[in-house]
Amino acid sequence: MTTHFERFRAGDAAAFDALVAEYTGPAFAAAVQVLHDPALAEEAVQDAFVRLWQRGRQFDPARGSERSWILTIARNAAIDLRRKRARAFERSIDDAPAVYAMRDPDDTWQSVIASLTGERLRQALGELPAEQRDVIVRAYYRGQRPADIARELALPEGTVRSRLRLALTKLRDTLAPVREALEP
Amino acid sequence: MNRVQALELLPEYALGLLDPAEAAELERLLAADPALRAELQPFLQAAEALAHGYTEEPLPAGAAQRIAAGVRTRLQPPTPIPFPPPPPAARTPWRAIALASAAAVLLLTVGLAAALIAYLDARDDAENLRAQLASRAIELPLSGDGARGAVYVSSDFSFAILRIVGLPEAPQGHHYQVWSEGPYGARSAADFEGASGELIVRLPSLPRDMTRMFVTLEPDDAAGDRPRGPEVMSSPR
Repeated sequence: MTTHFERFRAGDAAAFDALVAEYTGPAFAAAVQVLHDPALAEEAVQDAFVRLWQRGRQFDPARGSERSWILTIARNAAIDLRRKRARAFERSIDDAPAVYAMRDPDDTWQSVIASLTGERLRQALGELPAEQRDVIVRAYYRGQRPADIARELALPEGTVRSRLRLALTKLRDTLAPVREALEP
Repeated sequence: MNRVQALELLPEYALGLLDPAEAAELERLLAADPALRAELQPFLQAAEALAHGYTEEPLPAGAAQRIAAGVRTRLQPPTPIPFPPPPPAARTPWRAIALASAAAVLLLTVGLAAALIAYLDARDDAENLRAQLASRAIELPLSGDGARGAVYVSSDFSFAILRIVGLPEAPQGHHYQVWSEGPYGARSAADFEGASGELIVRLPSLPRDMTRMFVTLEPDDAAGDRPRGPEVMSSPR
């Protein structure tokens, strides 16, 4: 079944309105977790859709899923807005495309992602040690850098970095059995 | 940034947490180091999985409509930047000449004289407007980590000049590529090597509906049909 995003990427500009309607809820959820302010989150979601209009046709399905790509743009737009308001950076952080361009196509992993549900992901997060889960939630869903997390938790920054690295590795390994089962 | 520092930053890069300068520096290393890029892949995969963990909450009342309306408004074609009108050119005294002629010969009707004046005034206006049009070259400032410059686009988009200072020579096996971006996606305009000093590259015609220009660092074996390497410079979005 052709998605709104696929139609938009194929040149159907009219599909963009439907795409906005489809992803407003998830994008808002991603933005409000970073900003903790519904009004700012609305602004960030608008930013995200404008970026999506400008860069949507660069999306390469071989390098990632549509949903994660769009929600990464929304999350980055929220982090960008927060940084601009804090006057920490004058320039914008990049959108998802630059990071996604670093991905090597991996059909097997894309099969894992295609079947991954929110429930399964939350279950995998729940299997992490609590201190690692805390760091990954702060870093990914709240957009906090290790230095900020270390300050809040009164931990050495190196400890937070180690926990983040371990958490990401374990999360990926937790999902790996599914991946291996799919491999020929 | 050395390789050990780059390895340390891979998780943060995968989660999009680095500031733009750090990310650009890391991307330059990643573009030149396949082993480093391989180290990055598991973190990117974990990050992609995390995007599936959002719990949707009810939107505030009217938020969906406000967001959709805001997006539509912001995607309207931008209002052209008003350019100051050129200093008024001294008009040829057609009016006086025409009136003098009319008075002298006394044979022309007032209507004929008025038509002549209107025609000549309109011609002067047309010349002034054409002069304004010809002066409306577009400047797109470009910036990146340690490099700056601009793309100067002719008013009819038939050609452009890229001028950059501070972009180092591309690493072995790589080159730079400059792209325009618009509703059509990204389209290559030219590729080039860096230079220690000032770099000037002539670009061919550019799409009129482009919204941004940017420069990427591309591996030499890239097809060149779409950006594959990191962005190193960009005009404002």
